[in-house]
Amino acid sequence: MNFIKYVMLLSILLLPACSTLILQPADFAWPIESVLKVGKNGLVQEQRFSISFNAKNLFFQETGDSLGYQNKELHLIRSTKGYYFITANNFKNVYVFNADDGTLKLNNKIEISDSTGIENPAFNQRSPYIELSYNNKKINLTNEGIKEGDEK
Amino acid sequence: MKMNIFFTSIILITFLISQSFAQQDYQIVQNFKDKQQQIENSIRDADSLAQLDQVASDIEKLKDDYTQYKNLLDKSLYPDDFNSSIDKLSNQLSLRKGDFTQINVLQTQVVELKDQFDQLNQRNNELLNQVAQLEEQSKKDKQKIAQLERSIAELQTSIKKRDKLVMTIIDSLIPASSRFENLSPEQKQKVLSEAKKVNLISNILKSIQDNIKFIEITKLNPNDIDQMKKQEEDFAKMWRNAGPKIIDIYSEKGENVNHLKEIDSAFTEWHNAINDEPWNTIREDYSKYNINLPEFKSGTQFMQTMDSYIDDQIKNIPIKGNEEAEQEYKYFVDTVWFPQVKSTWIPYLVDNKMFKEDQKDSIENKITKWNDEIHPSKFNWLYIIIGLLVIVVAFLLLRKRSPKEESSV
Repeated sequence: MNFIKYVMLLSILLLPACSTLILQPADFAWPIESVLKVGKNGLVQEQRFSISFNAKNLFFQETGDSLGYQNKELHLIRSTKGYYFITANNFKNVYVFNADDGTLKLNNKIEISDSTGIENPAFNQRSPYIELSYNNKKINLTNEGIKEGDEK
Repeated sequence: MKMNIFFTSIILITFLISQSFAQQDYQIVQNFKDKQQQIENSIRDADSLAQLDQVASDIEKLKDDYTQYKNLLDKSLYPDDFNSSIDKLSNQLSLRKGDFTQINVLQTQVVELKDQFDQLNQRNNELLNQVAQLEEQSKKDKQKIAQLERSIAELQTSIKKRDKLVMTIIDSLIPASSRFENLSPEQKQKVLSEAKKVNLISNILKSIQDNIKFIEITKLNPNDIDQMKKQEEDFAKMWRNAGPKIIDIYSEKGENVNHLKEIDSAFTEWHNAINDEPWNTIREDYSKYNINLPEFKSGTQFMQTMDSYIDDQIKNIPIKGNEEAEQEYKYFVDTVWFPQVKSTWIPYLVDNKMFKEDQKDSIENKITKWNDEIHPSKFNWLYIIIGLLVIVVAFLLLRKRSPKEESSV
């Protein structure tokens, strides 16, 4: 009986130490998208928000071409929740990433067009959504996919 | 055919409408930035106030067109925002307008100054010739001396006026505030054309050369030299500060810069002429009495010249005879050294660290030695006679007292 009491007391004392500290609300939204040139080695650098990453694998994933990144531009925006939305001209998908231990980890791949690639894509910040404008169409995105009711 | 045109128009209109609707946030911000940049370029490249007035309306239009996107631009124009971006443009515009206002004032000033230049140049030429003639005439006709002095005073004032004018023009063209800044191509062009309008370079050269000529043809006193020195220092300082900028502008615009280099050597010549003037005047003072001293340009050379001259005079006393030697001593010492050199020039030379007290003492010791050599007997005989008189009187007194002392015993 005493043993159970000790365990309960210890649990009460240790619980606050184990709980995660959360700061909220937090808003990670970028006001506008960044249009970034892909560098020689696939490196992309965003000056204002100080983010850089290698985009080679992204282009390989999308096009199947290991040199598909050359002379290309990426459209990048961050949502209120902190997800990075990335696409490029002629991509069929929008890639959603989150920051994870020094990497960008794919959270979702949203298919926009199953036949031809999207043309003249542009992201707009429309909190809580990210608006994707392409081929004179507009759809709202979240990290989970296309907002219900918006057509492809 | 008509149908084709109709369908083409419909497609074009639809495309344009769709484009305007499809304007994205990023595109809005980029367009704003592009227009901002265009306006900045227009401000920088404007050639006249009229062009800047057009830019002012462009800024107003930009403000009106983008006020609807203010929230987006406030967030996106990091580190500025919409209002501060517009303010920046307005500030740049008013600064640039200031440049043009300054240039317009300068243009008016320069035209006025050019007339003054022409008048002063002509007057200075006349006076320089007049003074040169009077210098010659005054040697023969003493009545001309007063006229000469008046002309010299007038010439001095006129030369000073022209120097001041040249400095004013340099100061107007390259104000002190802009001497260390980069001028825009338009400002440089303005400076060049205004400088050429007033023949700035040749007028600077002429001013310096006239000053040198003035020193050469007139006899200056220490006060005149002090004033001239100050004038030269001010002028040279201004040229040191503004000259390199003017040279840069001339060479950038492909103009001949040889005259500009001549100005530097002319300043050196002027500086040397001022420094040599006291020595030359002392030589001239002596030459009036046919005492022709070799040239000297420093305190040491002056002392050596004087020493050597006096040594020669002492050595030549037996050959020349006392009368002639004494006459030369009188001219050299009593007429020139004491009243002119020692009282007028030595204090100036010592004050300006061109001559030392001990050098003066050395010359005076030589003069004393010379004097002793010319008048040796007068001094010795006088003492001998007085000495003999004292001995004779003492002897007589002693002889008178001796018999009384014997009789009393």
